[in-house]
Amino acid sequence: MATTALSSRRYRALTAMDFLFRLLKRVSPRVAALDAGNAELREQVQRLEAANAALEGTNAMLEGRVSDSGVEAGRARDQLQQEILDRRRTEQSLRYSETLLRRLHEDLEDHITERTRELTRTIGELESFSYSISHDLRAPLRAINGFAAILREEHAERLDADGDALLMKIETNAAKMAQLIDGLLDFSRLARAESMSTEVDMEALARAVAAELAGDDAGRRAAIEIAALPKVVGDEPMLRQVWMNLLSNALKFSAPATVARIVVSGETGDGEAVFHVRDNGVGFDMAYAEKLFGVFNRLHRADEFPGVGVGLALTRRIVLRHGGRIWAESRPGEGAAFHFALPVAAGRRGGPAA
Amino acid sequence: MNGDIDVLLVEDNPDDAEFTLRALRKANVALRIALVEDGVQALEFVFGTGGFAQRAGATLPRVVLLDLKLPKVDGLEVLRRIKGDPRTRALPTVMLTSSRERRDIQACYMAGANSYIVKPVEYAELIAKLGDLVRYWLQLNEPPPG
Repeated sequence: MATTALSSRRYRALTAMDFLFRLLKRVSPRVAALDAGNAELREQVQRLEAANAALEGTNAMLEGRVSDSGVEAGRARDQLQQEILDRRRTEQSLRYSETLLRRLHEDLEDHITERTRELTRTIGELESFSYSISHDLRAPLRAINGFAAILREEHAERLDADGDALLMKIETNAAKMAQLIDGLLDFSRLARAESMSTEVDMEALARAVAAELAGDDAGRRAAIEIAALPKVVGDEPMLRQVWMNLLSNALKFSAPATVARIVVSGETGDGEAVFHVRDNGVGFDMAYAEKLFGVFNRLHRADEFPGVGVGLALTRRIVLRHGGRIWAESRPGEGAAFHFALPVAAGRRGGPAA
Repeated sequence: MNGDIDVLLVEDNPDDAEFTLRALRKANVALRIALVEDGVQALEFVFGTGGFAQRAGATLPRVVLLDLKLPKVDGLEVLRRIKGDPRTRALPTVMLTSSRERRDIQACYMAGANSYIVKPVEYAELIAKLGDLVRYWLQLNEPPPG
């Protein structure tokens, strides 16, 4: 037991020593650091003292200058006041500009509202115009047709060959006028039609139209070749009409060719999809290329090729409405090529139809 | 039970009236047709007022063929008055017009038109259409009990 007690006392002494030793070890670096800090402080005091002396010197110098400074301070104050004034003026003119800008903006909005109203009115007028065409022009036409038909039916025995031929001319012309009115109506209807943009598979559309035309007389004698065509974004029924017009035109003007051959192709490039319809038909003189796309403009006599001259005008309108362009190339007797380009990314751009 | 009139034709254009009458007669020679030339006359005929006061209480025609564009009171208004009055609401009223305008067609159906026929430009077509119309409204269709 005694040994144990002793050893435990020794142990405690040893532990205390060890503690002191460790404490010393920990404190000594701090003491060293404090010493170093002391030296630094002393240096700083010296520096401050020097600075103080310098300041005192400057003070004396400044005291001498106080009278001069009064003048300078006055000048600075004036300058400051001027600056404040300038700033206020700038603020005022800024506020004025703001008001002006706001007013301009309001004016612009008023202007836009007014123009929109005008446009709506114009569209309304166009609508009632086409409405009155359908009513007012069709009525006399119906009368001409009707009386000619009654004459043929009920008075046939009193008509000689000449009378019969004249009656025929009346009927043919009335039928043509009906076509003209329908064409005009189609045209004005397109102008006010709302377009719906979707992705359109131009190849499928062209093939569907070609298949439809293959049932016609001219279509049966022709070969329509359609290559892979790029897709576009646009109004499908309108684009269908483009294919219908271009392909039926190609067929119509290929009629005299022994073997009508129509080639449709297309490619994408430069932000647009370009389509081509080439035929080996009668072609046209490039001197009249511009006239091709006008309403009721025809390059051939009506007895050569049927039609009233609305198809290409409509086609051009549709292409323009899609933000695209259309053009044609040909030489008489060497077939014709019609090309149209539609923007690829901006198919939704529905600019005003020209 | 059958009234004195089969068809009331409301048509202001004398040429159109002549064609329509001829076409109707072609379909059925025995047809009893009354012709009035504006909207006011049409309403007076149907309601037995004004110049047609003697028709007050008379049986209604089997079918009315109504043009849209009429002097004085237009066809749409005539249609609205016919369909807006319990005495005449059941009277079969067929629009016969040259207008193929969407808004006209829509407005007529909304006002209760029983049918909407576009007058064809071709006379032969007119005869065919009116023949069908006569057969449908005067033979096939069961009239409203008078």
